[in-house]
Amino acid sequence: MQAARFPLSTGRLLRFAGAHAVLMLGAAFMLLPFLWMLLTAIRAPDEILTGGLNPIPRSLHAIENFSAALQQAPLLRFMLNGVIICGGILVIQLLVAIPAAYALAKLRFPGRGLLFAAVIGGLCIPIQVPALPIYLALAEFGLLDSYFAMMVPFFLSVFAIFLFRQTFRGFPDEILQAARVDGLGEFEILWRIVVPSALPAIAAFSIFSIVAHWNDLYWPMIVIQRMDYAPPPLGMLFFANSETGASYGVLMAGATIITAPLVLVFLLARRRFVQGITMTGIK
Amino acid sequence: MTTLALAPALDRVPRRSRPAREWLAGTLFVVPATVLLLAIILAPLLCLLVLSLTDYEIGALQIRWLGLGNFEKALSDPVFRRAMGNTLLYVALVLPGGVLLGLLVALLVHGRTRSRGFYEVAYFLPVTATLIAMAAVWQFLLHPKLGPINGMLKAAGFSEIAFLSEPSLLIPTLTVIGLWNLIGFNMILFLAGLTAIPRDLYDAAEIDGAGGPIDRFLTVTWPQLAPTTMFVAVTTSITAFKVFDTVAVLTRGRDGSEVLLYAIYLEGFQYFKMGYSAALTVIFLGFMLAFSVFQAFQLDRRVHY
Amino acid sequence: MEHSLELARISKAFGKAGVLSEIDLTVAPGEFLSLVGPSGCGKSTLLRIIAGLERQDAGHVRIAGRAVDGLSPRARNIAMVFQNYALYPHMSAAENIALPLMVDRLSLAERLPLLRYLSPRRKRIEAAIAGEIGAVAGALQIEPLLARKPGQLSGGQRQRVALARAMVRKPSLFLMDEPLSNLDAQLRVHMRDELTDLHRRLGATFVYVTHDQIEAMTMSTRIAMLDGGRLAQIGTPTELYERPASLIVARFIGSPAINILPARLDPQGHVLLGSLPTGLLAAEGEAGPVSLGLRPEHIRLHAVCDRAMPMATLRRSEHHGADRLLHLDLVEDRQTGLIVRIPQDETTQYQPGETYGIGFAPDKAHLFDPSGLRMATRTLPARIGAAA
Repeated sequence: MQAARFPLSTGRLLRFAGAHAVLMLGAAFMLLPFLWMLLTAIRAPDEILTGGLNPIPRSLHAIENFSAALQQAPLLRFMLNGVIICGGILVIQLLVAIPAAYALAKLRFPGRGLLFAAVIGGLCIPIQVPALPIYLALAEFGLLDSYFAMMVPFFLSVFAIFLFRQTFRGFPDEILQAARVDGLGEFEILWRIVVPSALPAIAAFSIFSIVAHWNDLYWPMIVIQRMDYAPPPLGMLFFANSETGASYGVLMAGATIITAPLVLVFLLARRRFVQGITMTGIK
Repeated sequence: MTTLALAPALDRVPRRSRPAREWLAGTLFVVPATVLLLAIILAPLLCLLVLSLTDYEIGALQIRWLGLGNFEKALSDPVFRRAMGNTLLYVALVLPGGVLLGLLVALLVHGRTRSRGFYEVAYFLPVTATLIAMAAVWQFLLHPKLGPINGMLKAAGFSEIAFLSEPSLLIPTLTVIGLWNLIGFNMILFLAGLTAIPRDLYDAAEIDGAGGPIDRFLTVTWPQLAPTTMFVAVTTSITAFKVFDTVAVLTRGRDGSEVLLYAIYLEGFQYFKMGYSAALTVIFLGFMLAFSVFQAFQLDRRVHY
Repeated sequence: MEHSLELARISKAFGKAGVLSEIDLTVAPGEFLSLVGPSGCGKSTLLRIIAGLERQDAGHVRIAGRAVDGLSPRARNIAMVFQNYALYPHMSAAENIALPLMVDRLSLAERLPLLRYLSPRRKRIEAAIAGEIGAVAGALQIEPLLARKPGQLSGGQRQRVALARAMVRKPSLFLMDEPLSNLDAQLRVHMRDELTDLHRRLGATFVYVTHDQIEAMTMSTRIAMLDGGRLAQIGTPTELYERPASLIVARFIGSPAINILPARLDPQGHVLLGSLPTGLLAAEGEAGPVSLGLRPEHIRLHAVCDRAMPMATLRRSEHHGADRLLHLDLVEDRQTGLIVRIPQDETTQYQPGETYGIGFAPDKAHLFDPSGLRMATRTLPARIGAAA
């Protein structure tokens, strides 16, 4: 007997082609800046100044552009600063938020409701709100232009407390009871039993935190005047300002260097990134 | 709480009962968070409110109490009014664009199987890239003489457009860059929402005859995505309202392109008019709270199940 | 008369994994056909192919005499009830029930938000639809629930709304995908009743997927059992129970499950249990191992020790209301357990730990060859242990 086969109908084919056409057009728009950045970073200055549309560089000028970029500004230093700041912020955020979230989720203590209300309220206060008074305090104590100044407003993440509290609440009480019967203290229960089970949420928050603080410009712009403390975005701003239109190739090389780390991490850990975004849902 | 009652028989010293132990542990666990909450949110907030009622400037010898003077000044300050207007215009452009384009892309990407990974990467890449660096790239892309976008326009027979110097084009240009930065993020949120829709409902729609693309969208997808859409709309509004980075790199507020955060930054940290800047910050905070309250209200309402 | 449903050599594979192969099946008008089988046997896929939600790789589907292979579910004139009911959560019960009719009678433009108000005939059609919903709701006694949303309904009420949505189109075929599996035990028994009743009142054809053999046995006019993507047997509940075509069917149908004893064919075709003849004779087949199937109610225990009988030791006796289930272990082969069902009012007292002789009527026994297929049997006049 002959098999009844179902070919793609023309309607489905049209829809398929239409979807791809729209998506490709959008993708081209999304990727154009990256493409042009890379192409310009390896182009010679005279070719850039003609403003041509030719995508393929006539002569390769990559080494000159990149080494010029690295010489004109301490780009690697900016990135080291970024690593120090993001790492410091993240570690303290986790150390502060995890116990607090556990207490809010699973322990009864005086003032729990009040603290949770404050956490919820804190969720709608972005850094720009307390920036002014914190700046004045840091200036008062002579702490401006330091790693500490860049990190301190972010030591407490009410968002982390909120996210972890939601995660911990789902942890079964029976296991906690069993651990208490086995003689474990609350501190041990938290770090040895509850935290390992919440690693996906912690990973999601970590990604969110690192992306946010690696890319943050507002606060460093306020507290940092000296270039050697600048994180990547502020460094990029210094760098872009010091440059003139004559050396766009160098500027693009610098932009490539600054952008590369997070983009590479994203390409390597795409699933985790996407998971992190959907779990935290906040930018 | 019965669990501990069994254990301490062997101990000489009676152990603390469960509630007391819980109190102690709970209190100790929240001490760091509480201290930081007071130090970097509540105290600054209070301080901000007080400052906003004064004329405090760094280095000033005396402080004067202005009451609501700063707010009155803001309302008649053309710079602030322009910043406010620009910010609202920016939100009004980015909000529908970001939500609808994010939804459109998510709907199209959701149906793909083999190419889904590629499109996810392509659309999400701008979210991870450091916006400051990419703003510099955009500046070059939009350069009237050297940039490829004007190059293409000229090749297509149009005259060149000064995207970043023609005052009326500044906010629209910033909007396009803002959307470029935001669409991938919204797409991911919508994709998560789409994945959560039960397959059964699409099957039922198909059986009921509502299997065409428009019917499927109206009977299943759109109603099921309503909570996600609400959430995306609020986060998009908040992100748009906080526009700062692109302004700081691309326009620095020239030609009347100030936005609210940039105005706050200039008043407070460039001109050191702390009192006035604090008042503007209070207005900014008011908007943030309004968005949040709206969101909380919507979350309450989304129970149609 | 035309068949309500006709499947010809339906095959389907997902990737490399074959799910269905060469399924042939016909369903007469007014039948209640159950598709049963263990999970993963392909029964839900087959139902989805009938519905048009899935496309077969090969073969043909005819509904009410009409080839529907290329047709969308809508054009097949069928209705389906889903396991999770699949009610649209944002619509009221009435809107859910109305949807298939709305789609049927109004154009796309007349259903779009805002645009719909332009249609002059929309009001009239909607009024007619409301009348039909009322009739169906009356039949299912859900009128008071019509304004509620699915979230405000209990499991059984959602079930009825889903049924109403299926009924309102007056389809030529009702497809049901485990519709009772999400209900609690008591409600399930009740809904079983209601569904059977509904089937009788509508006189419609039902194709019903379930993994629960009791549902299939109690409700269906015929049962089709699938195993590993193939049709293992199709027949009335009685046929499947009394003449299972294979070991798999024999094991699946009946609760408690059939007892399967390892047995042997001698060169003359006698069926031997251990070394004892059973009085059962295989009509054909080679000497070697076979399986002997005995339903729990067909075994008799004999207290008097007769050496010509296989022996078993009573492990446990369970009270099951009208019946009593006795769990025994064969003396010769401790691995093989037996379950025997006896009426509660039987006077003999069986004591755990005691050993009893096993007897059965050869004509009630089922014989299966090593590949698990049923073998034809004859009974010998000389028999062992047949008490009655």
